[in-house]
Amino acid sequence: MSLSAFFSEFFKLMTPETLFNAFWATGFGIIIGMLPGLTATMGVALLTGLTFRFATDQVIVILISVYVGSIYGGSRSAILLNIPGTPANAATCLDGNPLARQGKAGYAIGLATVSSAIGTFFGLICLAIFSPMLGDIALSFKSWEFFVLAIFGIIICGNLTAPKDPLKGWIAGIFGLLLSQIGQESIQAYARFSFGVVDMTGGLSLIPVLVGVYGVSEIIGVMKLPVDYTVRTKVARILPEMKDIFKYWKTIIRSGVIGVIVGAIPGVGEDTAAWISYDFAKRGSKKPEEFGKGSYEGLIASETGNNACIGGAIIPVLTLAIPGSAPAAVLLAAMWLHGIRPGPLLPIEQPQFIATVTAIFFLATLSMTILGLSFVRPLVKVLQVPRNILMPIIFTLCAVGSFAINGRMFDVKLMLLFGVIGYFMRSNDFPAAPLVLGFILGPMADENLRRALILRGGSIAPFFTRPICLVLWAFTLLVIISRSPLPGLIARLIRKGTKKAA
Amino acid sequence: MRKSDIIFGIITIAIAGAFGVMSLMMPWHESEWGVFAAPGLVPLILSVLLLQTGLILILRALYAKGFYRSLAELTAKDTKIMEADEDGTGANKGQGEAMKSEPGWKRISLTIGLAAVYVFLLLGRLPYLLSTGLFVSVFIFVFRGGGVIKSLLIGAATSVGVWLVFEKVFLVVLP
Repeated sequence: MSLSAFFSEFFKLMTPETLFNAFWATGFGIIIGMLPGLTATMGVALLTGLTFRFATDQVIVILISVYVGSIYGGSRSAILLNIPGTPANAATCLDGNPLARQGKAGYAIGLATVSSAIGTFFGLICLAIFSPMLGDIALSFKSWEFFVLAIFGIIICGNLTAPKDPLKGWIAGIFGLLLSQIGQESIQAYARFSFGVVDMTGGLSLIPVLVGVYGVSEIIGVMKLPVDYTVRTKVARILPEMKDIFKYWKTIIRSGVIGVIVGAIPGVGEDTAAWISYDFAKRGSKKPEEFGKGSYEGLIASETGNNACIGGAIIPVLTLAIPGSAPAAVLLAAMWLHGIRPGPLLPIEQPQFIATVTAIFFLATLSMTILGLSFVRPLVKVLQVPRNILMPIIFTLCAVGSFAINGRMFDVKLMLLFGVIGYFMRSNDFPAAPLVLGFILGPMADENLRRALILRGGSIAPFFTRPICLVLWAFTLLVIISRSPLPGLIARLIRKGTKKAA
Repeated sequence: MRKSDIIFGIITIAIAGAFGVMSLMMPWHESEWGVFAAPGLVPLILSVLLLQTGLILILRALYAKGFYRSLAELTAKDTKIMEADEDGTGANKGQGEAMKSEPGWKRISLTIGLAAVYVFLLLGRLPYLLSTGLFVSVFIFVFRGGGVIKSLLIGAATSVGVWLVFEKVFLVVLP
């Protein structure tokens, strides 16, 4: 993708309508991100339904702006309330809140804003560079590769989103895959698991399921807590000094790289990116003891990582039609809804789309930075709305968002059902991300497996002889084996062996 | 955790069994490509995988005590990191304690119950302004967000606001 393509797309965005949409959507995203209980995924899913009638190009602007805004916005409540606004900002609490308690809330917010902007920008550059590269490789993906990729995605997503207990992650993933099989299948149009109900024949729509699992389940979780939160810290100077940013340039680059890589892994999103960035920053820091007590470096690492993840998550969306994170999954669904077909054929069918997305990203970064540095105090007031009032309002928005796409109450009921399912799953350590990833990848896995078998008359040899498949199988096995008792056994055998030799 | 794992393991196996049986009841040889194009193929494979993982979950919950001990240790370490409250201002104590206290079953069932009434009984049958206004007002009132007047006002404001913004500006169909 050439610079000229980027610039021409960017100038096309300079219309009053687009700029207005970008700004209000980013602001909306920041507020959604800021409010604990409302996640980026939910914000993007909500707006997907609500902007269904808008023109496609405006929808993409709005959704990317909300995405960027909400991942950034969560840092506010993390700093001021010690409650992450979205899971992606959990690592920000560790150093952001101590800074606020030292009276430096405004400065922490400013640091978070600049780090988020740098992170998003880094992710954007990687998106621009690596999407065309991956796109070339993606063109050689055939049915076999897509099937093995789906398996790999579920395995690694389950592993990374449930680090203490990946078995539960894998169960969630398989359950998601199974749920996606409901409805008419693509090869013979046989209506599976529909029980004769017309609504089920069409399958379960993605947006109601997403809004349910990420939105309604959070609402239930928020309502469970009897205590409300109070903002007690003062907000003074906001704009960070340049020297504080430049001092930690290594951390910034490292967190950016980690963010993009984690983002590119299917289904593993901004929360994991933030934690891994934080962890590596702590290990590589000259002053690790400051982490957890108000270290600028820790705050920068977390916020740069989670925002860089956005760009990384969109890379597989555009090139392989596989979501790199949950909000990216919604973005993918929205693209499908509006007739864009991401995937290996995107550079052929719509060659300027990657440049468009990059330009929109840049616009979102700019509006996020401007809004983030200017409207600090008024936005903080939003945090003081009691949750008993906020949650029912959000629920009605969820209902409208789920209803808006297909216009049927079935979707709203589905949303509530998955809200309840999602809540009980998450309160028992079953992560939601593999469920959603499985739900999205299910049709892809199903079609490609059967097509591959039909093409070669039932032979499963190509699954194990094609080079890309072999690489993916190797990674999958690596992940499974690393979580099994095997490495521990081998380590013990080696230790016994060296003891005997000594 | 072990008890809930056993329950979830049973649920998982039940779901796997149900989907598996239903897949077997689908036509298997109807197309010219035979089994490979059968609609039940992938669901059956997935059901078997789900059955296996559910079984592993139950067996682990019943027999692997060491696993749950190390899990508890890891969780304790995480909660210590997340709840560090060093200057003891108690500003965040409330949150932490609330998390550790009673599961809040009453609040959860109330939330789900009210939402279910809204989705299943009110929406779609009553005009949108009425159904939404009622839901929001009752919800706020039940959860002591305000008195009768305040709840009704906020409820009305929400439904009118949503109706205005979404039907007029976003051109979205409301239930």
